[in-house]
Amino acid sequence: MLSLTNVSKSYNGASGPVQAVDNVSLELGPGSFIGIQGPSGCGKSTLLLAAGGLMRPDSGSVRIADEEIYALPPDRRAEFRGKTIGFVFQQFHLVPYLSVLDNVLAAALAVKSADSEKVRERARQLVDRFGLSSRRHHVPAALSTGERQRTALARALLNEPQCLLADEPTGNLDRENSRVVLDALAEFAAAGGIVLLVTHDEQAAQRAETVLVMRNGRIIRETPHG
Amino acid sequence: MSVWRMVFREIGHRKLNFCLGVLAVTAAIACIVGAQSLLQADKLITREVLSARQSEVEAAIEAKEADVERAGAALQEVMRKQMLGLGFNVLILPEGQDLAELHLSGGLSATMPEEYVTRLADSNIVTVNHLLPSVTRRIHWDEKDLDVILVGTRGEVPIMHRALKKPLLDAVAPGNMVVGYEVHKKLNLSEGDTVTLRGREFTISTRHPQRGSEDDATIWIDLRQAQELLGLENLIHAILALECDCAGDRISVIRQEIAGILPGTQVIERYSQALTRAESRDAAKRAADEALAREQAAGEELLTRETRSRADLENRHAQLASVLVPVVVAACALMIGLLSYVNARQRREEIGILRAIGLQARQIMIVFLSKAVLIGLVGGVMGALAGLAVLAVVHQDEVVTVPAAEVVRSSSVSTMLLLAVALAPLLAGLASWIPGVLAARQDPAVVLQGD
Ligand SMILES: Nc1ncnc2c1ncn2[C@@H]1O[C@H](COP(=O)(O)OP(=O)(O)OP(=O)(O)O)[C@@H](O)[C@H]1O
Ligand SMILES: [Mg+2]
Repeated sequence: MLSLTNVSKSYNGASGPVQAVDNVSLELGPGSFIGIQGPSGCGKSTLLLAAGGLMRPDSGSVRIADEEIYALPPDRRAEFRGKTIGFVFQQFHLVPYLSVLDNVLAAALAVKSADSEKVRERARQLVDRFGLSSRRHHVPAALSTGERQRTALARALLNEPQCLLADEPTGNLDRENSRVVLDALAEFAAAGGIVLLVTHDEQAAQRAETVLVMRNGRIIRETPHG
Repeated sequence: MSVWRMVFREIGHRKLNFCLGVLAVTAAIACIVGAQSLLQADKLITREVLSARQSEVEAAIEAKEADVERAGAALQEVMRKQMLGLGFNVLILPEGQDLAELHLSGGLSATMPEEYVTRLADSNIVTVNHLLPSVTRRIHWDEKDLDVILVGTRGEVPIMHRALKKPLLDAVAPGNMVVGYEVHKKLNLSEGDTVTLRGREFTISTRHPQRGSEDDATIWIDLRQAQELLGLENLIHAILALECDCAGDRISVIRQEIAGILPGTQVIERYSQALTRAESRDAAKRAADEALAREQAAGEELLTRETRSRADLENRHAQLASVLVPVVVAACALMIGLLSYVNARQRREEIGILRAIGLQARQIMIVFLSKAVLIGLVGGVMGALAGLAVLAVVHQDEVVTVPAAEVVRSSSVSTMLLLAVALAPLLAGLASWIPGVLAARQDPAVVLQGD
């Protein structure tokens, strides 16, 4: 369960404060696949980061699996993030000097209790599943954009999180790679996970069960898909 | 995947940053170790140079001393032989003795108590040596019908306050007789012959060779027997003495000294050419002594000068090191700090994502500091080696070379080496601390929000 209650966040811009997220409340149960759409600058990324425990809102609360995440001390929150949330970004954010496999395994560093053999096995499975077996020892610079995003996706899934938060994951990808990523998100939701997908892409938004439309930091519309 | 793997991969990825860091640490440690071992080598070289000089000087002085001693010994031996040839050259007589009698007849009639010689020997007399109490009388040797000078002597009386000297004349044992050249020639005497003198038997123990003086007509017997023969119990005619060869004084000084001890005596000098020779020998000995003293002074001067110049050199080196080392170390620390900072900037994105996927600030810090420690370790070892290499290069053209192994073995340098290798990682870690903290504290949202 991921729930946001009256979450507000403003930035101190050059010309006064900018209300990036304005009193947003959301509730996502297991298996929900929510898309967020809206014009550039409406506060989508801010909302996603706040939901992922990466940006403390000015007010309101964020609860994941009954944990008030911003009440946790920073180190506990980091570990909680590592165990519970997977992130996928438009820019992939892979560690440039680590191989595909090591990038995936980097996620395990956050979880102290991880059984290294089991984790390695799972990493190999994920690498295989996203068609990266022959690339597992390559560094990101040697990968195509699609391969990079698939690596990031494998990393996000390594610790078997409860939520996947994806910010424009298909923004840089071709149709085929977009499909692979979206399939993975859908599959994750189908298996009981929570997916929050920020996207401009109509095709991507179609895959979500519900699309929330944001404007000026507020959710102005909720469009359920079939 | 471990933190160390990440550290190594990152180093491989950004080699330049790592190499520059290692270079900075190497420079700092090389500077510390190099300076320390140069200073230590200075000390060892100083010790070597000074001890070499010292033994050179000592050898020179020793040679001179041996020369002087040889010269002195030869001189003394020559003197002794000469004096022996010339006989005693100071004669102490009772005041009433008419000297004409001595010169005319070789005999003496005035007497003084035998105890005078003891008094003289017990005194602190310095002007004369070798006291020989005697009775002397010209007699007619009835048994042989020959005029001889009879000398009774008991041997030399040692002077109490002096080291025992080799006697110039040995005592004549009771019953023995020593005979002068003319006597034994005329009487055809051999050693071991028995003769009778005024009814007493004597055995010839020594025959003197020709001396060209009244000694040739002299016979010597034991003092006490002579006293009995002449009816002069406990009395003596003269004390023969040898003028001290070490004092260049004149007869008047001797007279004055003896008059103070034995009032009522007169002192006459014989064979004064012996003195002239003694004086020239004295001068030679003094010259040798002076040469020795000069050699010693010159040696000391040389050592002092060498010591001072080495100390100057060491001071200059120490001063240079005391300025150079902190400057270089500070510059290198700054350099490492800057490189760390640059590294942290380069790694903003990866640190942001690692934080986002759950790594704790502490873990980021470990990644960062591990690299710094590694830089310190590699740089420390390389710097230590480079520092020692400096030693080998710089001291190559010294006059005295000290084996590098000895320098390294010296405690200050080996401690410095250990410290360098141990401290370099610590210092590199410290220099990277602030950039590390900044990197670990960085808000991951800032890099991720761009999406
Ligand atoms: N650090 C910041 N300082 C000041 N203003 C900011 C900062 N970050 C974001 N903003 C502003 O907050 C608003 C919301 O930004 P946000 O990144 O959430 O938009 P977005 O919906 O994700 O846009 P896009 O679709 O272009 O990614 C924007 O107007 C942006 O200019
Ligand atoms: Mg955005």
